[in-house]
Amino acid sequence: MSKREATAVGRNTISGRILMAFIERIERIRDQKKQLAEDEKLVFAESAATGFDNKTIRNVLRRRAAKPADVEEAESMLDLYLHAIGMATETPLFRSVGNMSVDLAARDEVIEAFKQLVPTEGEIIVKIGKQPVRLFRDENGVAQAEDIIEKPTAASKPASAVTSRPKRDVPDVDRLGARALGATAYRENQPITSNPFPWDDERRQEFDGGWREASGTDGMGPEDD
Amino acid sequence: MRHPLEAFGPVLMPDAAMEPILAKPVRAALLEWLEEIWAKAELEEVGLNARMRAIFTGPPGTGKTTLAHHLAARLGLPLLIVRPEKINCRYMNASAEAVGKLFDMVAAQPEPIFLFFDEFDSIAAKRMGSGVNETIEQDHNVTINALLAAMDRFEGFIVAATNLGSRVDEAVWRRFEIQIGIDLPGPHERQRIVERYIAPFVIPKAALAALAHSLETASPALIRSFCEHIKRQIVVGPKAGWPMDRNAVIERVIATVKPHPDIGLPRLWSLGLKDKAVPQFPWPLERDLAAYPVDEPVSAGGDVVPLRRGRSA
Repeated sequence: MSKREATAVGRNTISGRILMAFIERIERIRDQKKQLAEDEKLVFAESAATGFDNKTIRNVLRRRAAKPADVEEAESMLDLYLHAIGMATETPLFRSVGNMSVDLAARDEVIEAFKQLVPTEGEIIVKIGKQPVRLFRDENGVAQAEDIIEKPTAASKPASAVTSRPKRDVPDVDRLGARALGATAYRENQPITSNPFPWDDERRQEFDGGWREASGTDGMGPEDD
Repeated sequence: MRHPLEAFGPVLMPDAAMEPILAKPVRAALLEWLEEIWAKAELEEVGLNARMRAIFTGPPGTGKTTLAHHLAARLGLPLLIVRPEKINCRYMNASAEAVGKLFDMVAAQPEPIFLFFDEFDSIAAKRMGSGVNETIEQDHNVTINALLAAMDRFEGFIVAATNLGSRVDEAVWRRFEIQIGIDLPGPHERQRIVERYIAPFVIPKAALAALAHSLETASPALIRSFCEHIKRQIVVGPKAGWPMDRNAVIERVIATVKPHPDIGLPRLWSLGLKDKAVPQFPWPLERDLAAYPVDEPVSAGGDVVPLRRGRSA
């Protein structure tokens, strides 16, 4: 500094001094910038040490610095390009559909977008989000949307249970005949559970009784001696 | 074809049932119950309802499941064995929901189902309020309350079996109209159990009685295991080149079949080959009683014990 001062002072002109003042101010600012850049580096180092990803932080900083409209435009352009070359993971429409359940505005946007896809004959039912939406065209060909309220389906008896048990041939006998059948079953060494009558047939107990009478037991094996 | 209720456990049809082997008072109670169910219309005339619910308690392996299946088969109804893990769910409130769903599904069937809860203590354990784990306790209490409500509206047959009757919730217990304790089999039942599981072989009556006596305090499951091991030895032993005389076979069998330490050791296990049923055990086993030699020593004098004093045996 003393050398420059010496020359400037040595010229001893007014413009020389003013110029010198400007140069010194810029030099000071540059020093400060250097100092601030160092500080920024330190902050980044600190965040990295805490475990954050600096690349992402820089990304966020860039996004925060940009105007929201610019960010949106850039993103939709990126989506469009990626989609065109087959690299898109999720189209904007689907992303909006995903937002439907949380964002009412997104829901309206999706409904508007889907309205353009509604075929002339047929309808689209979108069932993402909390409330399913039915999209259809009215008689004038104008796309319409309406919420579907799901009604619980009426409980129907499962048909398979009826067919799951093969119907056995029930002998055509009266109560006495059923009793005789039970006795015959015992003599032919058939178990007491070979009863051919269904549960609600009163002949079932007659068969059981006939078997017990013929065997002299209660049907649960021989009695104590 | 799969039965829709099989989501809750196996459904057994009446034709596959076996005869239960039970003591006399229990058999009488069960026959009375069957007659009562069949006399439903007459009971209704005098303003009574047939009892529809029974709970069986008793040590493990005493044939509670066999009995439930036999009862269902006598009535001609399919038996649904509800598996506890199909009711106890991992999420909050899901167990109570499963209870409700089970009863709704059974009620919706075109024909009645004989509902059987095996190991009932795991579904209907007492309601809790210790506060140690409030969330789980509350969920359990909700499940029990759902079970109580479901039992109150249900009009079909329910049978439950448990080893630990004292753990079942009191209010649930009260909703069963018949409580039957099924104990370990007596001497006569033990003979019948041996006969059933030693088949196709047969054992002469005297030897059978001696064996049944030596098997005192054994559960049906243990007797079955003993008989099946003897049959297994008869088939496998010669192939493996093991000695096949009576003592060697019985020794091998009682070394590999053991009762639970808490149930008590039947005499055959505590005395081993010195048990007096062992020399009487017919060997080799025959499939026909007539094939045994007639001069087989009869058990009448079997109690004579040789004096060993002063002499090394």
